[in-house]
Amino acid sequence: MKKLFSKSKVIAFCLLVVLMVVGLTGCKTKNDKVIRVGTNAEFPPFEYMDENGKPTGFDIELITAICNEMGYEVEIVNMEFKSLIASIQTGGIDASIAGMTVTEERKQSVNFSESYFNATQYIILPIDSSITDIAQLNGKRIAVQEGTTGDLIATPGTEDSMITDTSTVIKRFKKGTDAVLELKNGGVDAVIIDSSPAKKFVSSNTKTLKYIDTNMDAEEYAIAVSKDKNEILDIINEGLIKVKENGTYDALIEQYFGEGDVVIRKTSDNWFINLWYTFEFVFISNGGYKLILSGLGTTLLISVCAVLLGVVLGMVLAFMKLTEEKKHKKTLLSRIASLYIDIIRGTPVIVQLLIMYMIVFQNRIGVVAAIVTFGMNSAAYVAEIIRAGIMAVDHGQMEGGRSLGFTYGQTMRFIILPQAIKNILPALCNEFIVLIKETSVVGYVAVQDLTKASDFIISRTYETFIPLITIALIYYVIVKVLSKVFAAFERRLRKSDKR
Amino acid sequence: MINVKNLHKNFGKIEVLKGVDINIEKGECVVVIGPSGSGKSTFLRCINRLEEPSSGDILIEDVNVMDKSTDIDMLRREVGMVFQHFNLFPHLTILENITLAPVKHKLMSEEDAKKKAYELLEMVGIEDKALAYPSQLSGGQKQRVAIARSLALSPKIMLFDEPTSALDPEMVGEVLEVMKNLAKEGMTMVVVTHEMGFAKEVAHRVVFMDEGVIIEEGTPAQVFDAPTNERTKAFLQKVL
Repeated sequence: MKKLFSKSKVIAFCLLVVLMVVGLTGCKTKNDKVIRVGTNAEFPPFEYMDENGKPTGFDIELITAICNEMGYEVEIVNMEFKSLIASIQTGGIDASIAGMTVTEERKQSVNFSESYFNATQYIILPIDSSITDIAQLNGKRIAVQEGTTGDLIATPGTEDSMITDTSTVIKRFKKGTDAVLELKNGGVDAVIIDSSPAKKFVSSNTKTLKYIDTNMDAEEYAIAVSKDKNEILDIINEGLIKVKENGTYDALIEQYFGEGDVVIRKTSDNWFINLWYTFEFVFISNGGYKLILSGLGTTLLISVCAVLLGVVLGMVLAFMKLTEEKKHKKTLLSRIASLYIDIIRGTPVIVQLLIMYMIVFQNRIGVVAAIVTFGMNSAAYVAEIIRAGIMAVDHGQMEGGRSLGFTYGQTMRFIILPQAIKNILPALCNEFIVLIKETSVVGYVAVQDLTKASDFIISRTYETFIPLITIALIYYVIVKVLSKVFAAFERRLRKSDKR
Repeated sequence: MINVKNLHKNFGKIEVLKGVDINIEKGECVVVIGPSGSGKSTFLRCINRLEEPSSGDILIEDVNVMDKSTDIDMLRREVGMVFQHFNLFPHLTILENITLAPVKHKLMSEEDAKKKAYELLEMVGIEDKALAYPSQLSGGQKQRVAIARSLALSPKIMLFDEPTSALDPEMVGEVLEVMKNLAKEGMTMVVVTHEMGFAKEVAHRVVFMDEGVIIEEGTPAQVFDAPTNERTKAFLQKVL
């Protein structure tokens, strides 16, 4: 008994290894003339999402100009800021440009290009704040973007810290915009952030926010490159000199940091008219509807493909488990299926997603990683639903079929499954609904689904109510349509079954 | 036609059949009686291997059922079986219940199978229910359909596993009537039942089983009127 169990474990492990190898080799087809550059498009104006959901900003245009100058294509890969260095080390990306400050700590892990921008840290405050110096933030509540310089200087006890009081509350956000939103909502007293985004944030909130300088030494932003890829470092350094010489660099500085036009929003005292103005601002004049539509497309694509994969794989697993019923004892197949279901049900889907994206897919093709993850996850639940549906059919039906000379498979097809489907459908519908809503976490692996789209809109407009309510409604409608379709199916099945 | 030699069957540690030997001739109607738990149903289900025997041999027309090389699915087409709980397929009409096997086994065209199904339904007296679903039938009607369904494959042997035990008393007669006619036509039948009247009237041979073995067998007259074994006597006293 014990021995058999370990045998099936070994087989399951082998399957996993095969899957990983397939995943890795599939990614090895690299074009030599393409440089993969990671960024974190949450740091305007250096990098942020345009209305089509594509990363853009000063950094993005700069690296594109540098590479094109040297005759290379650029592929931008959006990810979490704190994943950038790890991805460079694993080879998932060749370089990163993300408003990243050169520090001794980071130099241990990656090489940096020549600096392309000098920045200092600013403190964003409510317009009526009495704080005038960073020392006054001791004991207050501070919001920062996780892993940034602002985080380092705000956290007491670190080498660069400018705050000494350990009772100071530090709230760390994945995005600078979230930190600013927290400040606007009164959750913190100040935000410490790089000067350029600070200016940008305040310029779009001139009535409520202001900034002051920390008066610390300027930091150098540079492009991080793998220590194993000196040839790419050389290309970038050479390209940087060229774009500075030919004027492209100055043009970008003017475009992103010059005195730009500030968008004036219409406002009204009437709550409803104001709501409409906000709606117009969020979805139309800011192009938010494009983000929502492409996000909806991604959510539907992931859901539909994952459901199909889940059903096919779930059926295979269900029949693997059912071999146990046929033979009246546990089989190798049923053990493998049970182990698979056990592992999938015992771990959070978000962890599975991160493993699939970062380890198996090496930070590439997030949509496919999401489909595979949710398909494999759903399969475990679908398998149990199908198995339970089949088991619920009276045992006499199998005997009736077998006694008429039908094989096990024929009996399943002609007699058991047509009856089991009525038990299976309602639970399956439920599983699909859960799956669709669960896909809202794919933003974790930088896939721009519906939820992520609303995230972008919030970070561009600082409006929360309308984007969130809108996507909630869209999810609701999708689920509603799905349950109606299933209800119609069930009705049709019951018609042929005059019980 | 059916030769059973030293048949054993264990369910885990419990031995249900402890060596059953019997030869059944072509055209013979054998009725198996005995107290519940005596192994008579298990014995019947071993004949078409719905229950996997633990040891022993079962030969049907000299083909060993126990042989690994025997195609059990082909063999079951020749051995019809009627269950206590009918086991009709609730998602199919009566007609479809009967035609499913001959059509899917490609023994008949859809048309021929339907024609035969109507003949069989007429024989069991419910041709007007052909398009109804099993749930719309009474217990007695269901069991008659189940018999017709088995006969659709023109089996050489029919096995009946307590065919009237789940029926209301007033419906027992109609099912037994069908079985009686079948026996008269010379069908080889093995019937496990508690209907002693049927055994007396129709059986060529009555077999009394207890605790996994055959205790006594003979003509109905021998077994019912002059039982030799004490256990047979005790059982018959209780049921007659």
